[in-house]
Amino acid sequence: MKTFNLKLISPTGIKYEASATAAFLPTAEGTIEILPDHMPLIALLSPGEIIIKNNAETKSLVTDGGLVEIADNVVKILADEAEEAHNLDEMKILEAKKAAENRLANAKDDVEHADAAAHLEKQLSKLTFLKRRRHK
Amino acid sequence: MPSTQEFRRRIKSVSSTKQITKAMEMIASIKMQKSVKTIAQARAYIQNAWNILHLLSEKILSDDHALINPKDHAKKTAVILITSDRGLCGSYNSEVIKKLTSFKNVILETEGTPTSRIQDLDSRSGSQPVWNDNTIDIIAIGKVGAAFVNRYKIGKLIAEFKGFENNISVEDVIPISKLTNGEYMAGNYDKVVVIYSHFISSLKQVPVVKQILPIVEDHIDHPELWEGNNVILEPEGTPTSRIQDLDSRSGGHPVENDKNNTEYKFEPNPDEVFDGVLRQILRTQIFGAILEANASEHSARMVAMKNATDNATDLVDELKLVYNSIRQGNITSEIAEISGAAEAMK
Repeated sequence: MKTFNLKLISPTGIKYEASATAAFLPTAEGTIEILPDHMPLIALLSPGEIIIKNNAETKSLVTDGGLVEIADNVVKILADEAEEAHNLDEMKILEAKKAAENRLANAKDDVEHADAAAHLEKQLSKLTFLKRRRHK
Repeated sequence: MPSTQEFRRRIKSVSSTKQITKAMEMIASIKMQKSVKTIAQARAYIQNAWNILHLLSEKILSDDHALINPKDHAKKTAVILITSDRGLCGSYNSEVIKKLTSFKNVILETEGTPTSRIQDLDSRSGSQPVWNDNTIDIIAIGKVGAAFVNRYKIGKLIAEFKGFENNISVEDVIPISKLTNGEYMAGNYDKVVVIYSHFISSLKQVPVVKQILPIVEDHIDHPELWEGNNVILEPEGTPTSRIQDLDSRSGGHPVENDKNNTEYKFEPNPDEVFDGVLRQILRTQIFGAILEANASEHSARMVAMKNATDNATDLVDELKLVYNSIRQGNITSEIAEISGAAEAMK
């Protein structure tokens, strides 16, 4: 089976560096699937779930958004944050969500409001991700 | 007869201080190791973000993005000043603050003070220089810097952030980058710089001024250009190179040649991708600066605490010597008194 090289880089280190057979990435226009010999592409990622498939193995991570660069069968993902599913703590996310909601309610100006809204969106994407996993 | 009591008390107090400084030294050293590790991890990310920007700047050449080329902006600089929240870290904070004042002086000199020199001298009250309040605005990260700016009116303090000294993620930086980006795009500033202490080794930290908006690439971003060599961190005030210039200068730049011919597709579209990359670079620049500052702070604290521990050891040794000789003297004189009395009884 044909494979490509995938590198997932986050500010806290390289999270994945190996070959893969397929990858699903969240973009503003929906999830895109990357297969070997994908055309060169630079795309912005939106908050959501990154799924990496290597034959039978599947790995999924939550991201806050970032960038992907694809060229010559090398996929480089620069994610602002990438957490593996089993590292996610639902209680923590709920807490962060609550804090974000509070901030949203008490925001004094536009900057604060936008910031809190973005934060809330991120926590929500993590939650939906967790829920989906539980149903599987 | 001199009393040994006081010396005993002093020895006890110095030794307990020594225990505290020793503990702080060890904590700082662990924290430093952690922050150094974080920097190493973040560097791969920062490097790759730059690589993509290089690639993009070759592909689209839309040089007129506002984050690279300023247009019609107020002649005003915003400074992000990174200091620590707590003290006991030697000259760490004062070095950074010194850099801030000298940076401000350079601006004043190159752009000329609005008032004449003589008037300026007259208005100078005592030894404290009177700053022209309009040249710089300051965003302070860390309590020490904020307190200094407030007290000496170096500039207008527009925001204060704290609690960045331990584990931070890029997410924590977003409010800062949003604030700077928003103000910059609104045309309130023509330049945004970060002043922080750059970590070179656990014994050496250099306070630097690093321009983050408009986005430029300078040698601070290239560890290979300063590691090992004499560190020439960019002299302030001079215009730094533009992104394209750097390719020719740093020989083995990681933009591979065979990629130049690749036709990329952009999603959603080139301009938005470019915009996204620039924002990401801005975030990582601030994030990187905070990481460096943290490593510097912890190593400065480690060195300061090590010195304090060493001093305490010396002090205890000295006090013990004095204490022993006084004690010995007391015993000798007591024996002399007893034997004198016994002699007299005969």
